[in-house]
Amino acid sequence: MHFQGSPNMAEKRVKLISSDNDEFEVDEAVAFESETLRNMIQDTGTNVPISIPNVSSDILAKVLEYCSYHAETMETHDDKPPITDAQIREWDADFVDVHPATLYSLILAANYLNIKNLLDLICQAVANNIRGKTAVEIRKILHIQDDFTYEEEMEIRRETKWAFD
Amino acid sequence: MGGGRGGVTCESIPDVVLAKIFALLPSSQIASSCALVCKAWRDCTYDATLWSELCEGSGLRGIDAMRCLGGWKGLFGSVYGINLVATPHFERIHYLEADRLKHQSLRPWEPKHRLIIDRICSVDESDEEPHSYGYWATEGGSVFQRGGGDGVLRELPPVDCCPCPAAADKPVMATSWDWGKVQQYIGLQTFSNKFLDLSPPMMFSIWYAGKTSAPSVFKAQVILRDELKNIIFCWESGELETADNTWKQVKHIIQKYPPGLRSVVVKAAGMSIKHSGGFHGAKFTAVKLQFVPLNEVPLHIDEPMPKKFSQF
Repeated sequence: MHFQGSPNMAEKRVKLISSDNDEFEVDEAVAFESETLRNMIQDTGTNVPISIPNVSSDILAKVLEYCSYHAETMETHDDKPPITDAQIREWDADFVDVHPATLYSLILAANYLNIKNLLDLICQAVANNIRGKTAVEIRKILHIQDDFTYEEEMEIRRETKWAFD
Repeated sequence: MGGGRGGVTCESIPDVVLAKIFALLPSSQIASSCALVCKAWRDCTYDATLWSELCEGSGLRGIDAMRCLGGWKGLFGSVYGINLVATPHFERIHYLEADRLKHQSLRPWEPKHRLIIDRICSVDESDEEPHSYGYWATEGGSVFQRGGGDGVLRELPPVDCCPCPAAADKPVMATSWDWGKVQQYIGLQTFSNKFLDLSPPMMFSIWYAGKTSAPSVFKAQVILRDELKNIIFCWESGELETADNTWKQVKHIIQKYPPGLRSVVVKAAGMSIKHSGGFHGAKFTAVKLQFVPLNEVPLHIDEPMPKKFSQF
């Protein structure tokens, strides 16, 4: 057990195991950012490592980076000035400035782990990326395959003519 | 993740998350470009709860959706997806077509317009039809009420002016030495009073330009009226100076007006401030008036001009 980064010696630590069997250890407060983990911990306690079968280690590391930062912003320190909302927004913006493939994996992880703020942040990032873009541009941005036939596309255009004017 | 299919693809975004993303986009984009991305996205854009939530926030009810083709999505499109202005580029209507239109009954949420004999001249005389109709009335002027000064003139393409970037192949209205005014009546009889009495926001926009080396001014007005045709609200652009051979758009959100809206009159006018004869006044076209969902009002305010238009 190591208590690095935790000012509170009594803080409980939680072990998490990624899909590729890497082990992560974090403060309970960090894990509690995830509603799913919170429920699991409350059911089984912190003694047993929790396995997260559908999140790979690189994505889990990223998710935990987010959780640690946000758990930290909740804490108050006498010796440090509090982190301002503007600083948090800036940090968040940097955090989601990643490759679309990573963003996708983060969506799935945030959805599975039920981390509402992270999911909201990523949805906002995706929405900002595709706002005002055409279908072709969206596919390119998000690496999505076009699976429509010409007829199917025409059907959509005809049915929702109002939106295309 | 992605299951060895060469990276994560759209199918892997859960529907609930996709719905969250859609909620952050303008509704017209959800129904257009998002629906065309892939089948998984399309199916998500067809989700009825998405549209019922968008509708119900603005006084539209289940009974309204039942009367509309395409349910909630159809209702949303009928109310927010259409330009309330008929023939926004001043197109004339052939008398045979006018005959048909006169006998056609209105669908729910279809605005009513007054079909009148077209008094607007055309720059191309061969285009003149003795029996044509239109939705635009002219006000004042010397020749058969053809608009102030020498009247107003339909031009295609615009004379001594580049085409309007929003409607390059459509007619524009040219004005002369005194205020050349045109106006259109828009009746909202087919709209539900419950919806109208919540004073739903409307977006009005119109493009205007000045002829090369001919200083001119332009103005637009939107008048909201109640059941007794009393004016409940009036918005005016004020006199706007045109730019030489350059199209500009005036765009305004009409909102927070008193309840009771039943009809709208849209007016546009232009005049030259230098020449005393001929059609040297402001030109205008692409008139648009549409209801805007309350949550999308911020998207229409201070919207930066699309890049592709800045060339003109």
